Amino acid sequence: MEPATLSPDNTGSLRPEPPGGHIPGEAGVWILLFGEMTFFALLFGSFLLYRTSDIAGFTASQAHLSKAVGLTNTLLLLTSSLFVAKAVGAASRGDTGSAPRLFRFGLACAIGFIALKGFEYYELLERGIVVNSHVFFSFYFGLTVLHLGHVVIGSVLLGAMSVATGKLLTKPSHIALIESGGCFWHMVDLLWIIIFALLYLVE
Amino acid sequence: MASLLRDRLFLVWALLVAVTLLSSQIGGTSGVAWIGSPAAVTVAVLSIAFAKVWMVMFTYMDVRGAPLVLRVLVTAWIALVLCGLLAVYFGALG
Repeated sequence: MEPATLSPDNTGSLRPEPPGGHIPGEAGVWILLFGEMTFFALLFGSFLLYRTSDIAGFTASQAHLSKAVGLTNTLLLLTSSLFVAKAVGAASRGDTGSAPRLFRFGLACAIGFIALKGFEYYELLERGIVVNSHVFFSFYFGLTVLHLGHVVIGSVLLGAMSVATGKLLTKPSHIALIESGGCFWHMVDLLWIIIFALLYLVE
Repeated sequence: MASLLRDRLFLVWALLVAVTLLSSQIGGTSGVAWIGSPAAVTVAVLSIAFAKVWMVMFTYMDVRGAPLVLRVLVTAWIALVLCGLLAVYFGALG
């Protein structure tokens, strides 16, 4: 049997484009993404529900957070998402030169996010603010630690994809895997977009 | 520069950054004086956040090129969660 070989189609992509449009990544990944996003959405709803019973306490607690730190982290993740989207595009064109580099740029932003989050935790703990200081901070630490876990998993994926795209781009299934990894990273980004709005900006 | 202006992903990033800076200005206690009421601030920052989520999913995740069913599912999920969160904020469950 002939091994599968790839040549770009007329859009420059190594992955054939079905007529009705193609599902980014593996179809199964979307079950994981919707599951994760819905789980987080329920936590977001719980946060707002608790907030309705102690608006003054939540507002006073929110004042301890630095909006500038949250904003910088949002910009870091948005920028990493741009690099990752470009990396996935490069990988789907079989560009084994640009894709690894773009994934590494995305990873650098992710590491910046993790470092800044660590700094923010340190600052809060220094001031004696812990998980049971107020229910706001139970949600703050719960949501952000859970999200940070996803950032760490995503960072490992970005590192792995930067290595893989330099070598293994020979089958459509490889591209689908890279797209899936990219989608996971964008989910990490979009969850933070909502967390930033809820914890730092909602009044 | 000209090539950047033709780069859809870059333009989306620039738009996302611009609306992030805007929502950061609107949000928090400083925004209440500017925009009016806390409720208006919340509606604005959550609407902007979910518009950003839609942009990330349609452009970066490339949902725009996906089959109609996924485009509808994604848009419906975003609308449903935004409406749900606003309903909770306005005390619909309390």
